[in-house]
Amino acid sequence: MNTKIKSFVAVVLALILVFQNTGLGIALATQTYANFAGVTTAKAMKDVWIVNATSWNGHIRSWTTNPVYNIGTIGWVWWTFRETCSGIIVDNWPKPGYVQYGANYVFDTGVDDRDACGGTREGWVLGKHDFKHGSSTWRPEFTTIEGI
Amino acid sequence: MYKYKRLKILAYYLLILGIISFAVYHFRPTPVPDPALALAAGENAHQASTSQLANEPSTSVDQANLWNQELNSLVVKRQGEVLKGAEWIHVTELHQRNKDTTGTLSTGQQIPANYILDTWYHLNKQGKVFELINIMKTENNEIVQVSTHSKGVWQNLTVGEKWQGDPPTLNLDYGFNSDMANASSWGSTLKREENKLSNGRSTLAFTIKDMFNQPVKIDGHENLIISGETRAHFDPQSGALLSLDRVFVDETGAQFFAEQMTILTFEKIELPPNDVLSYLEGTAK
Repeated sequence: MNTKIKSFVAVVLALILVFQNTGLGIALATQTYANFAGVTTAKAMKDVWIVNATSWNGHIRSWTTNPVYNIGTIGWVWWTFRETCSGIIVDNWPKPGYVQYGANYVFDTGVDDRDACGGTREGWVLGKHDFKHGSSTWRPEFTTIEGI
Repeated sequence: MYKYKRLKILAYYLLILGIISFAVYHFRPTPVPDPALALAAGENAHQASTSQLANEPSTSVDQANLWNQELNSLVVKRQGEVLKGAEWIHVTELHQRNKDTTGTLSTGQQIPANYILDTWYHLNKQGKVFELINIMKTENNEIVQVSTHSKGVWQNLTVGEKWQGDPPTLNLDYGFNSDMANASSWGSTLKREENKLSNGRSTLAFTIKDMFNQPVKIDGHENLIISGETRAHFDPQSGALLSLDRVFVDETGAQFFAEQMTILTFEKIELPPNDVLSYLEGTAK
């Protein structure tokens, strides 16, 4: 086997191993506002992941990047995480709004147990993010739903 | 040539990173199971048990794989028997949950801690579910919520939400086999038990025990939780899941059932009653 092929195989193998074991590729939903307020990139993310057979996590995060920049207000207006079993809401946990002022990174994580479900068991994260800086405001509202 | 050499170095770095990541993830130490706790939980779960034929705490990956294969063949056998020729499958389950608080729907209605789930699965000729009607009821048979899936659209008729999604699944093992397969990656431990009930019936129980790295706040529970055990009881002959329990240990050391789910009925039917079908057809009153 020539060295070029060997290198390619090594890269592919390494990437498979890394991705398989770091849990990358787990479900998340992200929205981006480039050049927010003319100073930074605002990011809004919601994520769901299974912790173990007992529990799963719902996660919300608001932050700035490229460059990391402390903005006037950052957080969320509201968020909720819920568990459904074939469309029936078996757990629903609404959380209050939360913001920080002059900050660049805010997150919250909720933990729920995994109820017995013979059908389609899903974790949901719903909510409305909150970014304000000067006269600019961005409040994206979206939901992520993933099998748990 | 220089570029190619750099690629080669990068490739080897990535390979080393991959191997380290693999080693860290798969060879990390797993918590030692607490036999006393497991046994106590087992006694609570099956007060009808009169004898325990085997009780092997899990320590090795090989052992876990064997149990996983054993359960898998039971599930496959069950699927073959149940799904063959079925057009509709009707399942009713009783869920008994021990929570300090329960969630609230957007309608303001409280989600009951204990509930009955009345589910109607419509299968195609390949045995795949393509339609579904799901009804949550109180223990007094009052309807709390209704959801449906039809033509790729899920609906919760009670809260008035609609969303696109994959067709419903019918997991005869309630996803337990998949959880068992993931147990080692979670650092969880497994246990297998054969029980003989007082009525002479045998059950085969598998348990997944999860220890949290630190006490965790689980919504609905006042105290922090330090561990959870999920135990599934199967009929060793048919492979049917009989019940599924989840036991928590909280920060005070108290052990309690977070949930006990019992399958009340499991039947193949020709057609659901009209009042149930009307939810699917959007003509429910």
